[in-house]
Amino acid sequence: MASAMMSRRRLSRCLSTAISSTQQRHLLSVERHLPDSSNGASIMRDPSQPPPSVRIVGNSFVTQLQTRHQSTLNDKSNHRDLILSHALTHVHSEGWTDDAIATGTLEAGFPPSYIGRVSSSTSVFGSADLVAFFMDQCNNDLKNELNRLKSENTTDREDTATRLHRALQFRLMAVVPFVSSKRWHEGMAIGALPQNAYRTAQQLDEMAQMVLEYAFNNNQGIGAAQRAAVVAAYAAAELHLVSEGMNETSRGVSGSSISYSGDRYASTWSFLKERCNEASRMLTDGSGGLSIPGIPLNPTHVVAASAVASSLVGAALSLAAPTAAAVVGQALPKVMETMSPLQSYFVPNNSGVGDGTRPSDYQVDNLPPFDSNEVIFSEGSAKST
Amino acid sequence: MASCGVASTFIRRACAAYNSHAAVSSRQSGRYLSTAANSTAPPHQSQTVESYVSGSTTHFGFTSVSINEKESKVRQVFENVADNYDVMNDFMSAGLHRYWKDELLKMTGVAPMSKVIRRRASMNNYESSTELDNKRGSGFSILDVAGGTGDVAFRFIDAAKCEERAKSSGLDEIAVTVCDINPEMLRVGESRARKRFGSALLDDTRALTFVEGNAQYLPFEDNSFDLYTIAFGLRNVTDVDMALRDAYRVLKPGGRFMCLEFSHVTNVPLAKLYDLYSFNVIPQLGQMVANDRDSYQYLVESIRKFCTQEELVKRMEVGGFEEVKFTNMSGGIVAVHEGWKPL
Repeated sequence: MASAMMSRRRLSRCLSTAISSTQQRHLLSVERHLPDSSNGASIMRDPSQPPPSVRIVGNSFVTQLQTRHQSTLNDKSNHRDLILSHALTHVHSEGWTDDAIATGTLEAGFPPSYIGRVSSSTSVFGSADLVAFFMDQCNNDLKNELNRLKSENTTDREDTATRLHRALQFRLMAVVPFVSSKRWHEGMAIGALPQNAYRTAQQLDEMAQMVLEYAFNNNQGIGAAQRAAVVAAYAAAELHLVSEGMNETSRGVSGSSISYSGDRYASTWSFLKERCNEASRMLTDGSGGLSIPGIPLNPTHVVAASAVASSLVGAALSLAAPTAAAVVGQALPKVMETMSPLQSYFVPNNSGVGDGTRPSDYQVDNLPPFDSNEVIFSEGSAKST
Repeated sequence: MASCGVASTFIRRACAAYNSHAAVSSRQSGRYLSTAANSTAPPHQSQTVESYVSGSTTHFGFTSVSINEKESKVRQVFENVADNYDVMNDFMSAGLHRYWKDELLKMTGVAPMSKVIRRRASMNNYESSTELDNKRGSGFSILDVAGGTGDVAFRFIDAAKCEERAKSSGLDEIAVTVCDINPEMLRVGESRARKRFGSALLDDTRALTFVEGNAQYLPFEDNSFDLYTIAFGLRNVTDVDMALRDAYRVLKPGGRFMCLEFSHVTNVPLAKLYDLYSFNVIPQLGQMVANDRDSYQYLVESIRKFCTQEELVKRMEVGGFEEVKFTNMSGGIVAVHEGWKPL
């Protein structure tokens, strides 16, 4: 019990020091009252003590817990969300692993057997659940933020590119803490694994829809092609962010080194600005409205956008783990086989498809062999040659 | 094994009670177990499902026997196969039972959970000296019913790294209890455990204990376990409903019930092949390897007489479990059913 209280104190202390002032408004203190049970619930806490006050940090909890907390705790999705919410705070130290979920289960005040409640149809409480849950949270936050901005009516004077930039930057800010703890490239890779790719694509698509609705002040004429353009811009900036985070000379992962402000990623934000300018030029017609779907986009744009989105998968994977990249390297050609017809759907006259990405482009096993004389690893190769 | 003696005394008493009342409710049987049984009786549900045992007879494989007879007959079967039980499992399932049990282990989450619990316990030790009872209370207690030879329990012990923990003193935070009605199976299990893990794990840290007991009247207090597993055992219990009620009783609130059991193959061609194999090959194998055709004939027949996936879900719900679901493996040859006792 003492340790639980202490670790909670320690957690909230280190998080509150790391969190920037803009995010501090999202701090939420939630009093969690488990249903009173006579004896068995004492597994994790002393019944003589008052129910734990769980200080939960992070903007996403506002929406999730404020709405759901009033409802009964017997709701299954609520249990799952509570566990995963707590697990997310341990991703910095333990990664997107079942260890983080186990810690989250106990920290949420549930008995150890509740770890099984997080299982889904596709996985036994694993990394995929954590990543998908995190992305859902990010989308929820984005939705709330954009609604807030819309209701404040401050956007009328701004151009589309600025609004796109603001929305995408807000979305990218959500992953900044995980970039600085060097965990987000793993998250991206997990999201891009074949069994999770569909869900991830859907989540990115939802995100793009929200961003477009905000940037163009209406939801008329938003099609798959437009969303793909936004996802491509987002994905490019996300990769930029991750690689910038990788180059950082960080002292390792600890509470105080996790950045929540994103100030140190200035070059990513200017890169994003460029991408937003391009996207807005591509998406707007002369009058500033969203161009009509079907006619407006140059077919090569669409093909390029989907190529960027799919190459993102490979890039994220190679950042994460060479073995994972090898596995997906086998799977990608198959994925692309199904994607090609989609590309031709967006481009009715087929004019651009020939120039685009083909399944064979993803065939990675017939690359030329390395030059055996080339020195790659100075020590190892010195010994072998 | 003082506990064994207590357990067998208990079983004799419980069996006597059972024989004199054909339909003993869990509340009544609870009298023999603890005074607090009434407070944990499962809530009554509006669902109706025919009770597992009705009238004076039940099934023993494809033959019909009196209720009182089934238990002794099942006991006989397992006494016969005890020594060769695990070898035969490999033969019959072509090694698949290992995969099924590994999957069950993964689903329980014992590995990551034990890691976290151990870490917390070491922090606890550092900060304040807690009493041993408290330590057990904040640990993870697992009951493996019908797990005589320890096949599933050993997986828990390995996953929770109890062998490593047994090198230091004090009770282990992870406690695995193997309960089986059959002393022969327990004997095999315990000697295997001592050989495999050393005696410190059983005697000092007490991470693993073997207790003789009937799944219908478990010799444990109410609200004692976080996880109840029963692998390939439930179909041999005379009254499945009663076993479910007692599982509910011994689980702590929020505790999880998991049952790995042969089930019903849904795919028709596969089902035909499976039938062909089970009725022709398995008894033959039993004859050749263990020189006991009848016991293996029973095992095959009892699988066919056991509940379907959906029926067991209903029974569990009636027993008071929530979030009940099942996961088929190998096309439904086996299924894992799970549910939670409400918090």
